[in-house]
Amino acid sequence: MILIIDFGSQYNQLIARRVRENHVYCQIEPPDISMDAIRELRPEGIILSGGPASIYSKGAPRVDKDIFKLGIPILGICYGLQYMVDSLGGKVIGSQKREYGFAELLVQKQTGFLKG
Amino acid sequence: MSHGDSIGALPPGFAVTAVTANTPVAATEDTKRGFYGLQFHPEVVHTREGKKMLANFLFDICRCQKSWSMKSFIHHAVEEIRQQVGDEKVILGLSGGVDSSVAAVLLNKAIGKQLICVFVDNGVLREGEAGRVIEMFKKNLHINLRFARAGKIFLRKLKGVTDPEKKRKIIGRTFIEVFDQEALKIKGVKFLAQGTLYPDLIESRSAFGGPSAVIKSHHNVGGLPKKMNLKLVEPLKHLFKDEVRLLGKELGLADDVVWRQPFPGPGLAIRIIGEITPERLSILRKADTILWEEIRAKKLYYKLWQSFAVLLPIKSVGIMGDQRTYENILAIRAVTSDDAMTADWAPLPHDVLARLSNRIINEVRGVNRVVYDISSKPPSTIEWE
Repeated sequence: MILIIDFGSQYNQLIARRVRENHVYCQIEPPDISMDAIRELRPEGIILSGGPASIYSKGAPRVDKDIFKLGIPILGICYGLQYMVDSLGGKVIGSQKREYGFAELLVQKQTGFLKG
Repeated sequence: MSHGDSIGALPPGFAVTAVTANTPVAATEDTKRGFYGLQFHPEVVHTREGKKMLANFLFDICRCQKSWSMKSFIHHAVEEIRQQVGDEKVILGLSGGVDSSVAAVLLNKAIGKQLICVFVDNGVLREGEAGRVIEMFKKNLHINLRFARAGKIFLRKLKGVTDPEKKRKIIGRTFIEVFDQEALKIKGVKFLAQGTLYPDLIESRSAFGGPSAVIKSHHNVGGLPKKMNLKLVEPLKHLFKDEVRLLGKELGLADDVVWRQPFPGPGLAIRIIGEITPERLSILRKADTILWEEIRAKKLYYKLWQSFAVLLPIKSVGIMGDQRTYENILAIRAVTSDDAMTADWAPLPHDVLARLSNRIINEVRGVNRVVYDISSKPPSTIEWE
């Protein structure tokens, strides 16, 4: 099963449905889920969802950082990626140029995750 | 792309795998540790790339098995229900809608006669609805069904009421009273089953409250659980609506139930503008039946999110035969939608509209004019009240 951590994105239910369309079970859980509860679900992977908050803002939602020690794949989307970067020692900055809507994606590595 | 913050420096071990003109890190990964990141939403990408990325993550990276299906769900759910319930009795309020119908059939499969369904006739149902429910659940599926004929109680309480919100409240409250009374007649009930779906559960505990931080009121049968010390059984609480339909099909429910158009809890009461009287109910039921027949005959039923008739509280002049008439106006409403959040009025073919108008005015006494509602949501709502 895939565990989706809900950072408040309006698209969360859509991700969950996309996962299930692939015949893979998933559950959406709030960020305050305990590590014990996570282990009990025995996820094969975790998706950290997007969300409206800024990573350094007060009250920004956080999930237990021990998820990065579980040894299972983790996919971060938008806020979820920023949370991952921040948790693992990278740096997130406020963007000057915002991109809304369509932007051309230039893929630099055509293997693994971005394959096909 | 829709985001404010961006990545300044990647953590050790990460590499950039995609960029856009304004985003130096659009996709990144640390394949050694199995960490992947996207600065955009793959689930809303309209092309196949988003789907492909997700599939790559699920199958190539996480090594998930394709094991989730409604067949496997039924197997687990039946076990789970049996474990939770033991040999105790469970009651379920059956409305005839998709969610409660599928919940009933699933529970019936798991615990058979320990399940007692209660169907409340609130007096504002569509023509023949009560009969259809009894036929399907009692006769065909052999489900334990109790039938509360409470139409008179509802109509008495609705007498003289014209305010839409008041109508809804009266019907909601009376439903709970009637359901409670019926439930109290059954000895030794320990569980209350509800057709709660996953979105209700997610939104009720979302980190940010979400658009609907409270559980929808129709999933909440008043104070019954407390008063009777009932525990909840919610066998559909991890399913999305489309999965519930698939589950219903897998459990052998007819398309008629599985793909049924949504019908409001307050029923025809909010499709009669103004006061509800037995005469006006009778007019609306006849017109609604004609609409149902025609929409189904033209194979439009499953294409429309909802299609129904509304009886207006104004009269207009007409001429029928040699006589001047002064009768009711009936509005037809038909919309398309994916989720009821937004809806477009449906461009029904002219010949369908013509036949509807013709049949309703000829066959329903008390209607001499039919109009078609050409408003979308927003700014209008789907129902008129």
